Amino acid sequence: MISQPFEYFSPKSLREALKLLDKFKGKAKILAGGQSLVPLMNLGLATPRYIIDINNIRKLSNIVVSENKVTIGSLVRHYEIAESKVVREALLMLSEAAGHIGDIHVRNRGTIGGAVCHADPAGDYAPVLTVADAKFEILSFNRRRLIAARNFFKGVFTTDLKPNEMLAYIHIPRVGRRTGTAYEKLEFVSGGFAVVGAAAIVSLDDRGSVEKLAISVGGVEKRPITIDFTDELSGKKIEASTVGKICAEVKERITEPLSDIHADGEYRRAMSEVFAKRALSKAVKRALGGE
Amino acid sequence: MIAGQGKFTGDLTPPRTLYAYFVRSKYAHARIKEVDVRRAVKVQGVRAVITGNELADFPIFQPISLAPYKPYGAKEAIVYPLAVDKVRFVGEPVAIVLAESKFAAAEAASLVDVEYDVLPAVVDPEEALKPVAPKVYDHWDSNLFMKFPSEWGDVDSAFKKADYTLSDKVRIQRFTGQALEPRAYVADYNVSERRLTFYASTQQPHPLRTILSETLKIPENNIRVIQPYVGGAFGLKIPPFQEEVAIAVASVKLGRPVKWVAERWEELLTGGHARDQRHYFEIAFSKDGRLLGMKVKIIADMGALFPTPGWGMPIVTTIHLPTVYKVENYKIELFEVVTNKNPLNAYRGYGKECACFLMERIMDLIARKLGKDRVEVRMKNFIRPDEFPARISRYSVLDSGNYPTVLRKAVEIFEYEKWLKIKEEARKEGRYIGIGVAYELTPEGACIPGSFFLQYDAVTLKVAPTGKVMVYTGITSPGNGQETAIAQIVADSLGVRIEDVAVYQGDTDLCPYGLGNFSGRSMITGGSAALLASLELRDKLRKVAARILEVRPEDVEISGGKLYVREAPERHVTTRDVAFAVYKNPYDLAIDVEPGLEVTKYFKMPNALHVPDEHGYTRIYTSFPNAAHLCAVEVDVETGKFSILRYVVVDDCGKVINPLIVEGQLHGGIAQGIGGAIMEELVYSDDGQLLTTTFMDYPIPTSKEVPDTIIAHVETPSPYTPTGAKGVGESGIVGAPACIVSAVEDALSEFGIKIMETPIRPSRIWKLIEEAKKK
Amino acid sequence: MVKKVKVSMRINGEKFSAEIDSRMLLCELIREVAGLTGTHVGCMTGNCGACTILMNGKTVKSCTILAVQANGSEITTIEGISKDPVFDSVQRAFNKHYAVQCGYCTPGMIVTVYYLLSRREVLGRREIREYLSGNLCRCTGYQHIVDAVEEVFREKGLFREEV
Repeated sequence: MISQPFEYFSPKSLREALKLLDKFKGKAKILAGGQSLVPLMNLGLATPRYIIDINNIRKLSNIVVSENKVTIGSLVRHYEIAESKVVREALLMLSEAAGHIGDIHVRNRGTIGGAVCHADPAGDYAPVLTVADAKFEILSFNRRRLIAARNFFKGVFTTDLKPNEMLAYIHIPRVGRRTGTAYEKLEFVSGGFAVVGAAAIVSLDDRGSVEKLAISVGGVEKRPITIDFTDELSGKKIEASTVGKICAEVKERITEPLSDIHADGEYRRAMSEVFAKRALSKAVKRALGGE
Repeated sequence: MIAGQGKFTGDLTPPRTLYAYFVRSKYAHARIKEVDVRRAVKVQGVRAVITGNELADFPIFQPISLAPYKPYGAKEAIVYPLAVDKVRFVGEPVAIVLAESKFAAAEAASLVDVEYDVLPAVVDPEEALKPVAPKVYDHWDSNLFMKFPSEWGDVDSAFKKADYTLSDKVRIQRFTGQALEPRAYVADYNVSERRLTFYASTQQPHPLRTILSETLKIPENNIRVIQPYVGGAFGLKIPPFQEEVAIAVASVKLGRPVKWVAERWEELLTGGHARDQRHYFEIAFSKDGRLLGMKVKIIADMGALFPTPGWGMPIVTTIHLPTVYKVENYKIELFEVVTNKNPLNAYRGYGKECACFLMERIMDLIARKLGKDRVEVRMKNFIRPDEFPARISRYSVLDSGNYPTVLRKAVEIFEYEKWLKIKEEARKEGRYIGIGVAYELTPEGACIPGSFFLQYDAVTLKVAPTGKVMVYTGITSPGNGQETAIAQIVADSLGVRIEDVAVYQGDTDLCPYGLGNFSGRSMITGGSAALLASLELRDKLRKVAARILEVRPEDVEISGGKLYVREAPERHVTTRDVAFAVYKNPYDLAIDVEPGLEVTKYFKMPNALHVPDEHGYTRIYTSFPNAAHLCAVEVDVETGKFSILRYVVVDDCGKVINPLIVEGQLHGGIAQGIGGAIMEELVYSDDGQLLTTTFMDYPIPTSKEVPDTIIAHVETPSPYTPTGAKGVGESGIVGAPACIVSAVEDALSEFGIKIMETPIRPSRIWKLIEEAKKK
Repeated sequence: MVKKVKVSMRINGEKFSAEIDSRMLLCELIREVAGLTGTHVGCMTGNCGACTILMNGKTVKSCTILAVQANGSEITTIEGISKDPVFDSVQRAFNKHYAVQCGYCTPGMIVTVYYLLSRREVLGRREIREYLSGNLCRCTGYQHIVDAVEEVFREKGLFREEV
């Protein structure tokens, strides 16, 4: 139950929301799906003075397709991302990640913007958006900026957002033919956060040689660990040994693994290799048209 | 109920209700220097803030007499509704805020300033036993609550004669039941009548009435406890809780209704914990697989001591070792230790699961050491069907059972041989399938001397003039469906339709004094009392019918709402006709019988023994359901995650009265056992902070973690209950952890892994595999 | 001084308005202001699903939504669903399979089943277990609930056998 009083606002336009955000500086919290924020308020772990509910800003709920990208409003719910044909075709692993979040009720209400800005290290979207090189469109009352996903996530529950800014849109690339993506998650109990979540993207040329290959692993460190192997592997064929080698490298890159009562750092580190391998193998298969 | 019309305690809000919110200790161990309420009382709508010192005149009545445990050193600990002087665990109530709205109460609670002098906390029971350990109770000489022994035969010579001996340690983590409905209480004190009505999500309305009376010094005939629907209990709603008493006192002090509904984090803190036992053991066995002797030292962590019956659990473990196996020599020593963790309460299984887990691990160890089949080793060690009644300890005699038949049936249904082949084939494909075997003994019908945990209970049965039947029971239902079974018993013996029987429970003004619900007793005692009461009224109905029909009473049969002449069924009267006659014709048709159709009958289990026999032996439990579990799992050795492929239970709970209800109990028990085996754990930091206070940190199984289970029965009737039922309320949970661990260990047999503790999270299994690989 | 906020919505088809504390959750408004106590509360962290309701036709956990956020929306609770003809078959199946023990999780389960039926998706046992995983039950071990849901889906021709 929420014990600390707050003032509630429900702006109908972005402009109005940004104005409020600017006015209250760090004392306001944006409320989107509320699947993390409201429980935290119930537990007394978040005690905002002002709540700016953005659910009535219609244009943040759209998925818009253009030539080489898809723009997802921050208010788009997880279930829409999981079910959207457009998103599935553009970036399959994003749908997969969305389908893994919580349960049907949580997915009916929770939003991509809310999940991304909550920046739980175990969140499902961060590795996917990072490895896909998604761009975040961030607005404040008098400024608009674009930031790459890889620069957005700063730490545990910490992002690049300034107190007067909000995430409005996420631009994801529409991957081409011979590109495969996959998201593989380890959870101990269904609906739980990722102990490890690995996202992989692979593009091949028409001879089956690598054009792009990158992996990102969430849940293991404070922010997703992302490695782009494109330079290393460009023009080369992918063998089983290649997969093994680069996934071992993913594990090597993890130096400060998170540890909690469910899984310690050593385990998470080891699992980053296992799940990187599973995601990558699937992505390769998809790139080859195998699935 | 399904349509959402069933009323739970939290659904009740009498007019003028004040909402309560507790201020709780942030520290595991601290002296309270000052409680400053000045800021809190300024919050609009706050009517009072009550602190510990103000309730220091109300030490909570201890419902279980410690006298029988004095020889074992049992020590007293007084618990107050709110902490006085010292807090002993995180979450202990320190003050209570009462306000016109729950928001005001919660906000004000955050403004109560408590100044503490923080003391070092002790959170490990073995550390707690060291002389240097901080003392949880200042007036005790150590943190040892009591040392309880159980010995049999000559253990030393058994060890000398044995072909093999080995030693190891089994640890069962601290976990808890977490009913979906959090505890809730509404106290309504009527100042002019000096009468307290107390609505509670509880398992024992009558004992709670007695506890409130003794604690609050309100005459017991001025207290009415009402138990609305209870949303699950599992032992953890057995009184008394600090919150229960505090809410009642607050209502008396303020003269207004007071309502409190726990939040989940409060349930995880103070809703009662369970398990948390370590078992150091040595066993001696023969080369043909017979367990000849065992020495066990049990260290049980009580947390802070409470008047709830949590501290009985390790005793139940102790007195039921070696469960279903015939072991003629053993020596068990139980050390119950207090720490600065949260108090225990009874939780389904009540120590039997620890006894089962230990014995089943031992059986697997023997099988492994000797390279024998695990089913075979169990068969070899079982108490044979012709050996009942079988005394297994100074405190326990098993009534009846047929363990080999039960296990054999489980092996058949499971298709054990086939699964051994599947396992082998899978291994060739690099898959790791394992089969688990476990046998549970679930002693029921607890009968604890000097307590409210006894095996008697009452039913008041009334037949109205119109022939409709009302049953008032002293047992209660926490949602286990036994009211349906009771109605069925009454309907069958009175020959009426089940729709014509209404069962009323959980109201101390309506129902005869009874002990509520625990230890699978509802059918044992409540069902039996219902049967006795029905038979008495049936006789009366037959007598009157006989006069109307002009035959002898023994010629009258009763069924289908009719009383008829056996030899000429067309000559009949209805139950309604007879009932009307009893009420309306006392001087003619019903002249032979006492007016009225109401009776109260108590049933008392005959086989408890509290006055020691010539050997000094007693009998504490009265009924002994048992079950065989078999399961198959597949382990992903890369991650340590596993899935359950098949699960079979063959259960012997005596006579099965309602198969669907019995199965429902088993499914629920197995699910909780699986939770305890694989994921549920209450984890503490070194300074005594509970780290698992939400369902995110303390996950419980969802529909995806629990497999479809195949259930079958063997019915060995209880020789002591009129219905032959043995109780089924705790079955399933006892054997499930042992079965799952057995299966996972079997799947990983080529790694030579031993699993001696729960929960077996994937990360733990993975670590065991990695360690084994390194060897 | 706590500011009160005005809300109005439709609950089970009827207009409902109230002046409430902004801290109030939707589950609290439903239970304590509208008096519809069939919606239960079990965790307040969006885990247990006892408070599942329909908001504009979609299931949500009403402990994760501020009451004021429901302003202008269409809310359906178990009390509303129990008036729908579909409810009878669900109730019959739940009773037949003894899918209700303590009854605390039941309204949330039924709301979920009702929602799943409204999607007209064909389900097997595995998917039923998948979709029910947002509603915790501590009594039944789920099996009888899955049995009941299977029967309902079978009746509607929406059940698929699994091998």
